[in-house]
Amino acid sequence: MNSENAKAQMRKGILEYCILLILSRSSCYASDIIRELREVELIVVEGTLYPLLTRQKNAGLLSYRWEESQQGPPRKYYELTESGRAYLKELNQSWNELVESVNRIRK
Amino acid sequence: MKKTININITGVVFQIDDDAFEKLRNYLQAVNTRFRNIPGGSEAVDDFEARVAEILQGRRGITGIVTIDDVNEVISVMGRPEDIDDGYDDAPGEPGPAAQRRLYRDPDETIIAGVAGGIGSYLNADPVWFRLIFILTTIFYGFGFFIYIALWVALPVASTEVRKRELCGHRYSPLAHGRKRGRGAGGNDAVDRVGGALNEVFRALGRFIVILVRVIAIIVGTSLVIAGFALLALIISALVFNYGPWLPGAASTDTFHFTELFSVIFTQGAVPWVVALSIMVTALPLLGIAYWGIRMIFRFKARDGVISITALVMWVVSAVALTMILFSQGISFAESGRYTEVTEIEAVSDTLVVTAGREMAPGSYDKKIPVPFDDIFWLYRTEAGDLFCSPIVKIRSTDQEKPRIEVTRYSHGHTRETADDNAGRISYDYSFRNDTLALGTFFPVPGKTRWNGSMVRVRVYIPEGQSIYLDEKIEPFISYPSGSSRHKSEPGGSWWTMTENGLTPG
Repeated sequence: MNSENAKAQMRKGILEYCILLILSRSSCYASDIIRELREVELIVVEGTLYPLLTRQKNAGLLSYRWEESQQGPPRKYYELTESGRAYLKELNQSWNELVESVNRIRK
Repeated sequence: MKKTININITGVVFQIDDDAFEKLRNYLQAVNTRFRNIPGGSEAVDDFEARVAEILQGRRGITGIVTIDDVNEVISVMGRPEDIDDGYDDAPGEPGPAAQRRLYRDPDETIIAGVAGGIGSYLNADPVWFRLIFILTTIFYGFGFFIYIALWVALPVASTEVRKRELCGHRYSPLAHGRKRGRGAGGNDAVDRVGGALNEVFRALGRFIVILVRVIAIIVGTSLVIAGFALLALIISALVFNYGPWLPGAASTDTFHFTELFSVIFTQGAVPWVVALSIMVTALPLLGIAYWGIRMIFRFKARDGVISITALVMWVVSAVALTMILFSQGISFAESGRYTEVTEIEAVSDTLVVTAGREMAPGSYDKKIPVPFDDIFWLYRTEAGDLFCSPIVKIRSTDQEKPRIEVTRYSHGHTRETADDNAGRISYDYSFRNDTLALGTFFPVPGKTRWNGSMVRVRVYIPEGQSIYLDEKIEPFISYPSGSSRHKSEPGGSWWTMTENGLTPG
């Protein structure tokens, strides 16, 4: 069993949660989300984000609007929908529970 | 010097080096393949490409031309396709579920149709061995050929990235321009060399077979086109232009026209319909054959389904209409009927003389048409539309003491009764008086506009030892047995004697 694989699986699980967290503060362009995720070393390559965003948008958690940009074509700005916020609330709660469970075992 | 290409990524135009373009295209294709299975994947691809355009825009140097370095940077930022984690559980490097593997014909490993290549790619082995198996089982057992053909028909081509992945499994990578074969693992160089040489032989053989098949297809196709159009021309010329070169006597005024034949058989008003429908019924299949031939020669693909079905429907409608006209005209050859009379001939003193009874004077008809295959003639009066037909007369031996004459009239009808009735209505005259048998040389086809395949057969039975004289008037109507020394076109009458070997001169 290699640890890289386990780490990748863990990252995968919380990646969606983190995207929603970032978007809950303000609506963002995809590159902004990527920059933030990169800073905390949750993703390595940008390509990963696009299928996830599409999936969350299709699930009704996100919506987007087009905004003009000074350089190049218009950009997509993502934001949370109402159901996205409710979903995030549930995730927050289960995250807290998870952390608590893990911490209790680690003691 | 380097070639550059203009491309457009999500609305932004770039000038890009040839090699960079190649790499970028392969990259985006691979990403496309990877995203395809995700719901809304095409949208993810669009967003992905928009980001690629943005990165390239940010890197535009002095020249403004995208180089291979720029593309490498894009790939390192966005991630290689196998590094992109789309959140679904098909981690790269792991073989996909077994159900996803499927057998296709492999367009990248083709000699004839890619059957062996497909099996090789599927089993991760050199296709040369499967080619060998196909050839050996064809030569020694014969079934290899049929299995190959069956697989050729049954297996689709792995024409898309998804199918290639299903065929090759996880070894397939569109970025690597092909695939890694596992054959190096267990095999050795000698085996590979033999395989390579065999592959060359098979490749040459395959090319030869493909060319041979094409040549045969072109020959067959050309024959079909020629035959189709020739028959079409013949039918149209016969039915429309009244030209009938294949009927004997065509060179003379005795040419018998189809339209005249129709006017003998059908009522006058029906003739144009019969002509038109006959053309439809015969021309459509011939056109189809010619078209099929053209397709075999030029091997094009056409959306001809609708046209084919329309033509088929038109053909069926025409055939039904023609049949209905035939029925409404009382024409039917469904049942054949006959009516036979046997008359014994009494007291022949010495020689039985056979002469012509009722005759048609040479000026009393307009056309004399020999009927192919039967030794008979039709006589036709154009104006009145009257048709007369000669009987088939044969002389046979009998072991009875007295000569006898047997006259059978044949006709057709849609039931047995009408057929027999039609046969009985044929009036054919013959008589016997003073040792002389007078046979009618023609009978009128009854009903004048209703020809039902009417025919009269006369058989004169002669006991052995009886001598017989055929006079010059009846001679042209006698069907001599084959191998007979006497030819009926000779002038003057002829004497014969019935022997155990049949009719002999003298």
